[in-house]
Amino acid sequence: MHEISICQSIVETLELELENEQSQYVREVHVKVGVLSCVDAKILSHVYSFVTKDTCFHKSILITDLVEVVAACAPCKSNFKVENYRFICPECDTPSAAIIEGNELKIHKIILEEPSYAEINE
Amino acid sequence: MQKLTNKAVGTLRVHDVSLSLLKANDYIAEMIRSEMKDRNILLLNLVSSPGSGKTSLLEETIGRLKNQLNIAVLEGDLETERDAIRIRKQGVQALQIVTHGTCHLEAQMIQQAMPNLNFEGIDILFIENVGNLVCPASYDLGEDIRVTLVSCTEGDDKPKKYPSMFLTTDIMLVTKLDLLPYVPFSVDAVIQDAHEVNANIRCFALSALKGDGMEEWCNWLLEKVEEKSKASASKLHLK
Repeated sequence: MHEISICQSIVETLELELENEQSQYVREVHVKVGVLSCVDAKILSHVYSFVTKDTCFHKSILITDLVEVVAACAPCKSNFKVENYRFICPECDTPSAAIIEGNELKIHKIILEEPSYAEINE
Repeated sequence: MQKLTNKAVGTLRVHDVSLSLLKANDYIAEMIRSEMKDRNILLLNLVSSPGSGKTSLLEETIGRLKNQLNIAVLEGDLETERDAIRIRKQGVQALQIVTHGTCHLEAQMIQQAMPNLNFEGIDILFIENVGNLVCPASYDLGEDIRVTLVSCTEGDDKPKKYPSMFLTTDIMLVTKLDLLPYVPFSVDAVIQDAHEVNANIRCFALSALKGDGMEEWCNWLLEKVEEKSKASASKLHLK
């Protein structure tokens, strides 16, 4: 629902992370989107193309990796995959809200293209 | 054309990073949390669907507690100052945050509003979030306690349908209890559904209109205020 503000946050984060002259060579931005982050990955990629249209990142695309929910079970000392938001260990039926992953909303990879000669001579 | 670098055209460079996209919000939320701690104010974030009775609950709670506690309220809505006007009628400070279309409150909005409140002697600050069970879940506002309201008329299957919200919730309030005889809603079912998502949720059931369950809720609030002031008093003592 708030994909536009998330995309603006991506652009701001990239601006802080990269040096100015690098920005135009960004080709791919990989974002980990946890199932619990309330963000629709497909819409996010789509919105990204609009938000970056008039910025130096206009040649880049957003690639989202969906992260499934995994929680930890203290009695079993193991992790279990949470399906249908049932935060209960399938082995021992103990409820657990200790989320190991699935909350993420972060950039984990930025791919830049080395400038070609043509670009440098522009 | 002169060759400028040795690198082949189209060489890719990969930066492996870990940049949280909500870092800015979480940073500000921590600033708010620490300021509220210094001022010894209990901060509650009230979330729910539109029309679950957040404002009515606040009116009734303030009516019952205003002789014992000093209360202030921050109201979040897309438009209008209606909620803040309703709260001011109860004789407490209320400030309206108009988001102009934004579906949630962010920590920065709270931080901007804070200098406009007089915190002298305040015990509790309530933040009434925008009515929405989706987006407000992702935004920490620096609160001590997140309270989610579910009214009887919404249906007892809500927690699993909006799991992110219930995962981050401390307290679930079942509201409009006076309507229970007229709707197919089970308090036990909604509590079970909520506990399957988050076993740590504490539940209350009440009716702000008729007063059922209000005393238990108000007593719990008084306890929490006392707990917080004791915690900060012992910290002062240690210093």
